[in-house]
Amino acid sequence: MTSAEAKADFKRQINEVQKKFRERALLVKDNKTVAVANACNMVEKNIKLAIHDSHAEWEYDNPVTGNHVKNYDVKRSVPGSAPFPQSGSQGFLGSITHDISENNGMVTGRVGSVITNPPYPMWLEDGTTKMAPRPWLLPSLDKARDAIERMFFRTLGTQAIQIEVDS
Amino acid sequence: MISVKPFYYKTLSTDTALIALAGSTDNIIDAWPEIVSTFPLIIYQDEDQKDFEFRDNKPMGSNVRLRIDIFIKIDSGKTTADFAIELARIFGDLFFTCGTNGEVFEPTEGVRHRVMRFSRGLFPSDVL
Repeated sequence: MTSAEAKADFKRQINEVQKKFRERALLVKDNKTVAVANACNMVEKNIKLAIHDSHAEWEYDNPVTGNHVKNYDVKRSVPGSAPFPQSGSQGFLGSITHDISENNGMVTGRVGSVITNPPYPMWLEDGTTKMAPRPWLLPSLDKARDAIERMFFRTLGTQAIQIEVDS
Repeated sequence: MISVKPFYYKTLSTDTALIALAGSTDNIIDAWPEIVSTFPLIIYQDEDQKDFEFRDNKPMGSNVRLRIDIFIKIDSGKTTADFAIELARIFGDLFFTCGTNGEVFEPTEGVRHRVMRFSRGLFPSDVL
């Protein structure tokens, strides 16, 4: 093999390696987006299931005031559980969604309600002076957290992930 | 599973700086009243307990998460941050980490509401 042929062969090998790296980079990028989308879907599914499963008829003794509270006429959820979907899929339940964005290699997935004015979903999550909290986001996220971490480790190896709740 | 509520109550109700801010131990409660009408009010709740440190397939302790809600009147001359600083000190000394700490929008006029969450891995011997 002449030096010119050796040089050409070396260049070809370099090109092949570069091509492989480009393909792998594309694959990782796709995997990252797919993994974030799957994670968002898991949390969204948990939220919707929790809202679906919330009971409409309840009674309990308030531990602070001692009053016996019951509500059969207006369908409301038990304090501490996910809210009851009073308007069905047209209201809060239908407003739960997720979106995914990518910026400089960082993929961000957001899950939540699109209702912001007034921020009823936030009031349900955090509670107010007139209503005990009916958390729907954090318990659903907790339920999915282990599965999400396992999935990220399996598909992306050691890629850093951050899971947080924001009002 | 660990019974942590007595531990939380003892921790909160014996801290003189926090009681001075809250006014009385009656203003530190462990469940949400139907309507929050007493101010300031500190509500602490055992929000989550997750098993950890397995030995012979049995959990030795729990990763606990404590939620604290602080309600104050704006005209009281205090801020929710005053309470948050004291609570961060109390639970920081007990090696809890603060996961959430922020004011949330409260629809009732003249009232401020702050939510804090602390978490830590606890063994039953830690809460004796």
